[in-house]
Amino acid sequence: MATDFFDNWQTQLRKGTLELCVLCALRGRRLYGYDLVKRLCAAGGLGMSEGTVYPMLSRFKKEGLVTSTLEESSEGPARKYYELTPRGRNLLARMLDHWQAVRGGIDGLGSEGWS
Amino acid sequence: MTHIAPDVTARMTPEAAARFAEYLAHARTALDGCAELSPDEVEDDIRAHIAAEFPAGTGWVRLDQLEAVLARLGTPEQWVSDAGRSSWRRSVDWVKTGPGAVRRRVRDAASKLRHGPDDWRLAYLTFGTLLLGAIIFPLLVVLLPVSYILGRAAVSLARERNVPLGPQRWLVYPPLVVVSLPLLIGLLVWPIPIAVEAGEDVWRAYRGDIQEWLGLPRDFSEVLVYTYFIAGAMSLWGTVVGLVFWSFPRLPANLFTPFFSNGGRRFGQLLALLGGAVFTLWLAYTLRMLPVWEWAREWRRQAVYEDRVAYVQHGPEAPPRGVLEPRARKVASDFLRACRNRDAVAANALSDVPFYTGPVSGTLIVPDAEPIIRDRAKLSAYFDGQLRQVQRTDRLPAEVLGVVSYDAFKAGADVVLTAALDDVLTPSDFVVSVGRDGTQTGRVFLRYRNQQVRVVGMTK
Repeated sequence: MATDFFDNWQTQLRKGTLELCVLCALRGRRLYGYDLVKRLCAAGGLGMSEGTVYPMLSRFKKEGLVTSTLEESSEGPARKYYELTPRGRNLLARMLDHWQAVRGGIDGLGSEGWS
Repeated sequence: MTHIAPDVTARMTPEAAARFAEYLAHARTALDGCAELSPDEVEDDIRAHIAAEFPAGTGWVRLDQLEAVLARLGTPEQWVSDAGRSSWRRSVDWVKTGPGAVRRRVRDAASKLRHGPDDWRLAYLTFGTLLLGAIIFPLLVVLLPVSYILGRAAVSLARERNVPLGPQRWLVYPPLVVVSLPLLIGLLVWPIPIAVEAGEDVWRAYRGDIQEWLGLPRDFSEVLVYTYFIAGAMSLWGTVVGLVFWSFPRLPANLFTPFFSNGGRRFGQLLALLGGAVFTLWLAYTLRMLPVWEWAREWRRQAVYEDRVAYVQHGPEAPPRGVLEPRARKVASDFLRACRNRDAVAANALSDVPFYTGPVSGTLIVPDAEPIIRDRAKLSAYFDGQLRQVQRTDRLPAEVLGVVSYDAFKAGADVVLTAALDDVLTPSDFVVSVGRDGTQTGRVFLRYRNQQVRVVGMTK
């Protein structure tokens, strides 16, 4: 029962933070889709399926948070690079602020419990 | 569609290529209906991903290698959140989850029914009863009240426990709505038929006057009369209902569950104020524009008269003159109104034979026409013909000015006239003076026979 609850909570948490992670991964750099996916999967704790990222990128693009450009690659076929738009950067900054506030709140609650 | 991603399938084994095509089709199905993303673009990204996993020069891509990559990509359903998919897509997906999922849901529902919580069982029972009534239709007569009572019990239970009904309301509310809604509508609109009936009476009695006064086409005038009466009745009743709801705010919630779940005070206030305002305007207009007090007096006279007649009808003798005279006035008044309305049927119904048509009945074409009609069919034809010739109803007499007995009238009347009238009237019958704007323009003769007062003649 407790395991089910934890699994469910973990899934919800991942879903909630994945968008932040994708935007964070694109902060200050351009990445092509495959590279972005591999970096996200390499980051511990996300536990997502790789395919999840592509629909999310398409949605971000439709919402004007990222743009994509196709560029020739010396290592093989052309690659589609994604980067944040000013709107995406602005949103990311707000999301990070909120994330810090949530994290600070949770840490604060934890320390109260320990004292 | 042209893909910008490299075509890696050319380097796949046939099994792997078929599997990849199936995977892409699956992905497209899952993504279709997601308005917020582009399925084409996602498919391109997946192709590019596979191409990056198997760069050129690594040989043929086998099925097992591809399956490992696809497993990391995950099932396409995982990519899209429920919120991102359209409702029809979610429905299709739900169905496609297969019989196993359906069985699981049925098992869960059965488990809820078996093990509670109790409030869910009551909700299921409520809806089940209604459903059974709908399927076996004749049983609905019994099952609908049962379902309604169960639904009310479910609502009361939830209220008692101070918990919201939540999704249970989809099971509990249908029988409540089926019963309460017609009741509520009935309560609010029942005065309409009565108002229509009153409007019809007034229209039939005064249609000539009303049309003349309004100066509008007949149909439109009639609709206006009905609307006017409906507005008055509805606004009065609305005020009453509104005041009751206002004073007892829990009453509507108890009577018409699930409506008024937040109490009926606000609805009552709105209804009372709106109804009160409309009725005040209606009443003020009615008192100002229509001879209401005169009608009231007439109704009172009529009521007194009816009482007297009821008393007299039980006795062996004819009613006293004090009773018959107002009755003669009333019949004469109704007769004049029928004539003004060109209503030959009504005029004929108020008359009887023999009927005196006037001192000069013969014409050049019909010189032998008698001044007295003795046949009912001829009398009917007479009224029909006479009223057809009326060009201006505003010239017809509209008022009863006085009533005397034929005996008294005969004393000072022309001999030729009374010679003819003797055939129609007895000394105790009535001669009613009629006219317009206080001026006499003619007389109507009435006879009492078989406990009925009827018009039996008229003259200028």
